[in-house]
Amino acid sequence: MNRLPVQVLMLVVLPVVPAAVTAWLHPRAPAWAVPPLASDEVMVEQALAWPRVLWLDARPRKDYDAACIAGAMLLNEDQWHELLPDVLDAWMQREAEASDEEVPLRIVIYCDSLSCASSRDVVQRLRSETGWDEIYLLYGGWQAWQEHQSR
Amino acid sequence: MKKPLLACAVVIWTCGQVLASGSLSFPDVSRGMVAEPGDVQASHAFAFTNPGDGPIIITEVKTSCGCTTAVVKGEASQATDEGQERGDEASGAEAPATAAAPQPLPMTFGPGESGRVVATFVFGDRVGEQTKHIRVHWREADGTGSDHVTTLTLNVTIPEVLRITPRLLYWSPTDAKEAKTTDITIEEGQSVRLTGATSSTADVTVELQPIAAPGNPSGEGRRYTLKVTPVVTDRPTRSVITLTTDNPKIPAARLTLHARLVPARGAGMSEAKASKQAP
Repeated sequence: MNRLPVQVLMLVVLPVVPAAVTAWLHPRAPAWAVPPLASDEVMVEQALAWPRVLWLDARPRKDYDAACIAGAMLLNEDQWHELLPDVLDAWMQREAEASDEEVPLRIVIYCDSLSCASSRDVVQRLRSETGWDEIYLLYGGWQAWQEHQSR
Repeated sequence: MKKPLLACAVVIWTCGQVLASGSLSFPDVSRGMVAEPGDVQASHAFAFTNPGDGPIIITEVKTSCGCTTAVVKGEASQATDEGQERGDEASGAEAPATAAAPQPLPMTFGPGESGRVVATFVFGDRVGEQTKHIRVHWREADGTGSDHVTTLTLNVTIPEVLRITPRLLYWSPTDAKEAKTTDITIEEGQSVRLTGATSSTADVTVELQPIAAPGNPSGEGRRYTLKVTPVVTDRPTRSVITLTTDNPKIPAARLTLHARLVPARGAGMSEAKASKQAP
């Protein structure tokens, strides 16, 4: 009797058992699939493909000072009133320098990671205070950006 | 006959393991607070006990925002600072750094021991309904169980004196350079009256008008409209508009609006480049 197919089958099937148990019970198991993005959320790859983007960092200042996306400006609710004028100036400067009116300037805001709510708060407040629609949240935040850069 | 006995043994053993293992019990995992005008932070001590038979290790405490800190305190520290800290506290001064010094984790709590997770939320420039989460990671000290997470929630309402919609008046290159308006509403329960509005530059003019409302024909005191008219339209302009009130306690930053104008394409573009860093 040829035992090879049985052994191959065992080698394929047996690892599935502990893997399934781990996936079921592990407290930090990743999600099975990326959830659908909300209309104001954007993935790193998509944001990088946009021709005109103003990046805003919603993390605390010490994290922003340590490292941030190149060209990003700081805007958080710790110092909202102090930081907002500079953001508006940069935004309007981009508008003044733009040559193609058909391509809108998009603002992309990020904080630490999926568990961070600060960027969501900043997106909502900036939309509310400016009336501007082209404001997006970077899905996965700074963590997703770093993972994308390390690929 | 043997199979039912075996099943019973497994069930009894499993139940025994669950009962023998430790757990972390928070009688209150959510707390709502309303801040007073002038408060800059709110804190709450979430009490917990270990009602199980085995020790518990709190391994990590994470907050959903850099504005919120959380420290774990045991019974010993509770006795020493009982008089300094109430269960709930909203205050007008930020706590000294020593009070928020992080407790070294992991911390072990034996059977029957209790402690607190003291969460402190520093408002910064936030207003309105704020929800901050504190995730407490813990596990049984004997290593038999998996990691657990208990999520604590701090809901704080930070009253907004004025609702200004929008706070940015923006003329894009394609917009007609005509007057724009914004609505200003005094929030319920706030005792304040607007007395005027000024612009930081002469590039725009501002005009504040009360809005009449049912039962309040003059409109005085509750709702206003601010009309902003650009005077200079051939170069980029920026103005800070400041509202004045009869209540000097309101921070000036909460009374500001912004006006920005970008001229039509081709109009004054040389000035646009020259004023790159212009205030």
